[in-house]
Formats: sequence, structure tokens, C-alpha cells
Amino acid sequence: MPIFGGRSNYPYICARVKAKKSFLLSKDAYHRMLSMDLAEIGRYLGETQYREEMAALGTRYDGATLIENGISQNLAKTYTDILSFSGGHLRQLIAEYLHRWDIYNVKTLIRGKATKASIDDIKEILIPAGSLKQEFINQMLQTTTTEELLETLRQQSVVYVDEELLRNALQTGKLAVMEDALDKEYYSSLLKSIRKTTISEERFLDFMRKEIDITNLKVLFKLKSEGMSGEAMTQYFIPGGLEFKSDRLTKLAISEGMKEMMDDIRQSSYGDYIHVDIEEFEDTKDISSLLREMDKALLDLADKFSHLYPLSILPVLDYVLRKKTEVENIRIIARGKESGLDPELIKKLLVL
Amino acid sequence: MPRIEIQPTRSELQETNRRIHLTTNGHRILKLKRDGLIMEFFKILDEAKDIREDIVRKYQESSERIAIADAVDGVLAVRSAALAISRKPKIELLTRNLMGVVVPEIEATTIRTPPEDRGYGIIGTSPHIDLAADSYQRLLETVVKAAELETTMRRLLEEIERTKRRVNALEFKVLPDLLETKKFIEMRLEEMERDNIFRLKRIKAKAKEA
Repeated sequence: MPIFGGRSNYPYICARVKAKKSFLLSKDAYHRMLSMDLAEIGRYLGETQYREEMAALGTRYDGATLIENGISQNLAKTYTDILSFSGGHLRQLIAEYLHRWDIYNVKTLIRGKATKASIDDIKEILIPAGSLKQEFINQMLQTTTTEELLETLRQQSVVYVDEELLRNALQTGKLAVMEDALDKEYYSSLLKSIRKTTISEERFLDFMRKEIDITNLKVLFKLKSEGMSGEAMTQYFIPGGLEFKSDRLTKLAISEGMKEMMDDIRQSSYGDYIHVDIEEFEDTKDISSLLREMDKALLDLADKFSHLYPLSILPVLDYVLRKKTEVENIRIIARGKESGLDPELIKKLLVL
Repeated sequence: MPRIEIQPTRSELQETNRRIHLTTNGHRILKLKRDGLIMEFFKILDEAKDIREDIVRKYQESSERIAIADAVDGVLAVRSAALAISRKPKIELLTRNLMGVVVPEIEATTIRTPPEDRGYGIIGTSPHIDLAADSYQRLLETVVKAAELETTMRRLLEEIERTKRRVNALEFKVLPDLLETKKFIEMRLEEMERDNIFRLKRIKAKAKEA
């Protein structure tokens, strides 16, 4: 990752982020959108902070696609804005956090190349966020052989890709191991970049480790519902969690029933967020509500941390997460309406 | 059989009797086969009906799951995950014999894959995408099973139809023709017998007169 110079202008950034936060949609806005049709939602968004994107894309797209593209572009712009007005170590931390979009885009590029998808198809699904240069993306798109792909990846320093894993993935057509290594590397690099010189940075480290806990729990729920064996599961956990370290996660993974696992999780600080009926869950193996509860837990944590240290990266992080959740909620409403999902189900999917 | 070609002889009568016996046996066996095929067909029909309902249910479930994945993770993320899947499902087409009818037996071994074999990463891919992928894999498995059952049903129907035509042909055409032929030969033979007796009587009478 590039090292950013200058001072970490916390008061300025936090004030700007606070101002931006005031533009986030309220819970009422989602309820209003739920009773609108797609055209009305588009018009409504055109009167909010999404005005520019909706106007710019209005001639090319319509319906849910217009809404999804508009809000995605706005999200990317918001992240770029935050980076542009921050400086010093703070900027480095924010950039490290937003680095997940680079990972997503590199994964998409490799997936596209591995399956020989057309350049247009790959281009269409890249997310315009993160710090990958357009030149690198174009070079990646033009590669035709594994060697060219490896060479192009070697020339950039934004995302580290293990060559052996990539070579193996391209040979076998199974990208999972390489992709998981990228995700683990993301968290490892993020944890390393936190200096722990101030209390706020220590709390930021705690927050990130809690995020790792939540990600690991989501992986655990997913793999448990798929019926994967406990031993096999352990390789998918990201090291560095705060409450759920490797041995505790292994214990949960090899536990026989869901009840035993949930009882243990309920004893942690995330226990308050889990309200699912275990018997119903054991029957249906539907983890959707559990996942939403985990997402809500993360949002709540970000909110709590941001209030504890108002002049730190934590309010920025809280805003970044809230903005991402807002975009996801709008997309859930728009796509849900487009696919004719039951309004009650759409409401359930929202993270409010 | 046109009567003009029939030679009203004892050997022809024996041959016709042999053919009647063969036809009656064939007719009985074909009727048994037809009934057996119909029973088999109805057995599969129930299974096929269940599997059709299963397909509709699973299709609705898969559509809902992909709609949820599109909504929660975005169409871009879903399409990106789809790009990672390079392994296409393989099916092996075998055959089996069902009462003389060759029906397909489709073995699909690589449709349902565990999450680690789907191509994309476990950690970074949303569980909603996994749920959608799993639903579609289950749907595809059912579609393959339905294809096997429905092809079997179609082949059975064709065979039932063919057997029915044969049974009807034997019952309403071949057997009546043969019986008629037998009757004709018997009548002709009796007539010839009578002619013969009459001729012998006349010869005997002439011999007496002489």
C-alpha cells in the first residue's frame, strides 16, 4: 500500500464526515420507498444526495438498473471524496480499509480471465471504487496468457497476489483458495497498518478485530448450514479476531448441534444481537436472519465506537459503513421491487 | 389373406392351425406386455407428477434466492461470482431395459458441489450468493431427474402405442383372418370330402350296374 504524507487532519475530516452523515437517509425514507414504485424511487433519489448520478445516468438506464448504478457510483464518489480530504496516517488507514474494493476488482479481473470472459463483460462488473489505476485495469483486461496476467500483477503494488496460488488456481479452475488468501491478506495487512500509538487507534484495532469476528461467524454459519465438517471449516477463518480466536472458532466448528454453538456465541458480546429461534433455524437451515443480525451488530459497534472517540478514524469508519448499508438498503428495495419480492420479505432484508 | 391364394389342403390347415396357435399366444403375451407397460407408465407418471411439482417449487425458491442475492449483494457481485465458476456440470447418459424398452438413465455426478468447489472464495462471497447457487444446483439436479423420468415416460408411451397397435392388429385383423381361413379350408376340405364320397358312391353304383 502507498504511504501517504501530510498530517492526519482529524477535526477537519471528522467535521466533514459528520456533515455528510446528516445527509444519510432516515428510517422513514426507507419505509416511504417501500410504498413507491421504481420510477418514484428514482425520482425521489433524484432529490437527495444521489441527484448528480441519477441525472447523469438517467438517459442510459432506467428502473432498478438506473438506481443500482446511480447509488454505486455515488458510493465510489463518496469514498474518493473522503480520501481526497484526508491526510497522513489517517488517510493511510482509510485507504487500507477501502482497499477491499481493490481486492474485489482484482478478484473479478482474475475470475474473468480464468473463465475467458469477454472484456466488455468483465468491465461491466467492476466496481468504480478503490485505488486501482485504470491503466492497470486495462492491462489486465488485455492479457491473454497466465504469464501475461502474472506479469501485469507483478507490476502493481496495490494488491498482493500469491503467484503460486494464482498459477494453481488458473490451472485447476478453482479460484477459492487464492481468493480466500487475498481476503486473509487484506485483514492481515489492515491490522498491521494500525500503529496502536493512541487509544483511538487501539479502539480502531479492536473494532477491526470485531469485524473479523463477525466475518468469521458469518463464514461459520454459512459452512455449518452447508454441512461442512468442522476440521475442514477451520482453514476459512481469518486470524486476528478479538473474542473468537482460532481455538474457540475450531471448538464452535466441530460442535455437533447448532444449539451448542449458539449458546457459546450468545455468551459473547454479539449475543445480544442474535434473536433467531434455534429450533426453527435447525429445521430450515436458513441463515438469512442470522446474517442480518450480524450486519446490524457491526453497524451498532461502529456507532458505539464512533461516539467513544469522536476525533479518530472511528467516526469515518462509522460513516463508511452507514453509507454502504444505505446503498445496500436502497438496492434491496429497488431490486426486490423489480423481482416482485414480497414487501414483507424486502422489509426483513433491510438492515436498519 | 386373400382366399384365392389359399390352398385348401390338410397341410395348409395344419399350418393355419399352427399360426392361429402362435397368434393367440403372441396376442396373450402382447396384451400382458401392454398391461405391464401401462402399469409401469402409471407408476412413473405419479413420480413424474411429483417431480414436476418439485421443479416448480424449486424454481420459485431459486428465483427468490437469486432475487435476494441480486438485491442484497448487487447484480455486479452476483455476476462476478458467476464468472468464477468454470466447471460445467457433467452428466453421463446410460441406458436400462424396462420390459423390452430401452430407457435412459442419466447420472449427474458434478451438479451439486460443496461451497469450496464452486470456484469463488468462501470468505469474500456473500452467503446469499451461496444460497442462490445451492438452490440452482438442487433445481438442476431435479431437472435432470425429471428429464430421465419424462424421457422414460415418452418411450413407454411410444411402446404402449406400438404394442396396442400390434394387439389390435392381432385381435381384429390377423386372428379373425386366420380363423376365417381355417373355416374356409375346413369347409373346402369337408366339401371335397363330400365330393369324394359322392364320387365313390357313383363309382360304386356304376360298378354294380356293370
